[in-house]
Amino acid sequence: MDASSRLGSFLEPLPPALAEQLADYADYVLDSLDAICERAHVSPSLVDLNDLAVLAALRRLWSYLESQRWLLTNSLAGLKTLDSEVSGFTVGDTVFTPSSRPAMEIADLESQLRDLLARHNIEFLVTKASLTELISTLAADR
Amino acid sequence: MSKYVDPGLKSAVRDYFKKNYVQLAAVPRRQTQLLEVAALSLVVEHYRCCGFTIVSRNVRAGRIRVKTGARGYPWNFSHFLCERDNDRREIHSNLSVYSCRDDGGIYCLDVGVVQTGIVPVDKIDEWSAAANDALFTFAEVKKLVVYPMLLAHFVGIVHEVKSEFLKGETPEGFAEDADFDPALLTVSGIHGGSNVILDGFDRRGIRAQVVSYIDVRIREYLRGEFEVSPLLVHGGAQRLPEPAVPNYAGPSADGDEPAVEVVEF
Repeated sequence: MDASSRLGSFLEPLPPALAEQLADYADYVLDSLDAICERAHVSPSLVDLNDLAVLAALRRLWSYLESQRWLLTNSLAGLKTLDSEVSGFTVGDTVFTPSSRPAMEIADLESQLRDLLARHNIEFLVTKASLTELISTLAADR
Repeated sequence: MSKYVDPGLKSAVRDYFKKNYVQLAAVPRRQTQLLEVAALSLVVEHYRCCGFTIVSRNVRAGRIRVKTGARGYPWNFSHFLCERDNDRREIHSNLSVYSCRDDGGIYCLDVGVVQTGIVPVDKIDEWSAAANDALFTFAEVKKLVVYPMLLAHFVGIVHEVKSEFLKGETPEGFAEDADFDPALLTVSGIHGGSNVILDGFDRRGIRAQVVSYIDVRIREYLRGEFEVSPLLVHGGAQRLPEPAVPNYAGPSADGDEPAVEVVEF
C-alpha cells in the first residue's frame, strides 16, 4: 500500500500540487523503511505505517517552510555581506525582503505549524535530525 | 490508538490546511523562485569560499534582480563579479549561451559562470547569447527527484553546452581549485535507479555532479554547520557531512545514514 492510500483524505484540504509533493515524500520514506530501520536497529514491524505516512508528510511540509525561510533570510544575508546596500531581491514580480509579504507568510505558516506540533506533543518530528532518529522514537514509544 | 497520530491531530492539521489554503498554495511556486535565488547564492558563496572577492553589480534600489527565465535582457538583471589574483569570473542567473556544436543553438542556463566583459551590462541593440568559449561552468536547478531520465536530460545539456566535461576534460582557463564541474542541483533526493547510472558516469570519467536536497544543504551551510561549499571542485577534496534530511537511495558506505547525497562522478 502506498503513502497516498495510507494518508487517505488527510491531505485533501491542501492545494493539489503541495499535497502531491508531501505524498511523494511519504512514499520515499515508506519505500526506504527497511533500510532506515536497519540503521536504527529496530524492527519495521514496530513502526505503524499509517502513522509514519502522516508524520512524513508533516515533516516534509515543515522542511519546506523552514528551508524557505532559511533560503530567503540567509540568501539575503549572504548577499548582504557582499553589498551592505542590498536589502532584498526580486524574482519576477515577487519582492523578497525580510519584511515582505512572502517572508511574513512563510514565518506565519511555520509558527502556526510549530505550535500545532507542540500542542500535540510531536515536536520531535522536526527536532530529530534524521529519519533514523525519528523511526527510533516511533518504535520505542509503540 | 496511535500514540502520536490521533483524530485530534488529524483534525487540527486539516484545519491548519484549510485556514492557510491560499498561503500554502504559494509554497511550491515560491520554492521554485527561492531555488533560483538559492542556486545563484550558492554559486556566489562557492567562489567566495574559494578565495574570490565578490562584487554585486546592477543592484537596483537595494535589490538583487534575479533573472528566472530565458526572456529578458541581461542588463536588466544583477550579476556578480568574482576576482582572485588573475582569475576573473562573472556569475549570471539564467544566462543564454551558444551551443558548443556551432549550430547556432542557444541554451539558457540557470546559473552560468563566464569570462568577464562578455555579457553586456548596458543596453545594446542586439543581444542573443554569450559565446560558448566564454563559459567556464554552470548549474541547473530542479525541484525533482533525480530520476534516470533527469540524469539523461542533464547529461544532454552538458553534451550540447560543454561537451568536454563528458570526456573528463575542462574548458580553457578552468581553475581546478575553484571552478566546479557542471552541477545539477535538486530539491529532492536521488532515485534508487539512478545510482547505477551515476556509478557508470564515474567509471566513464564524466565530470559533472549532482547535489540533491539543495535547500537542506544550503540551510545547513548557512547555519555554519560546515564551512566548505556544497559544490565540489574536482578531486574530491571537499566531502560533506550528510544533511539532516537524508537521501533515501540506500545505505551509505559507513552504514550510518542513508546514502550520501552529493555524488561526484
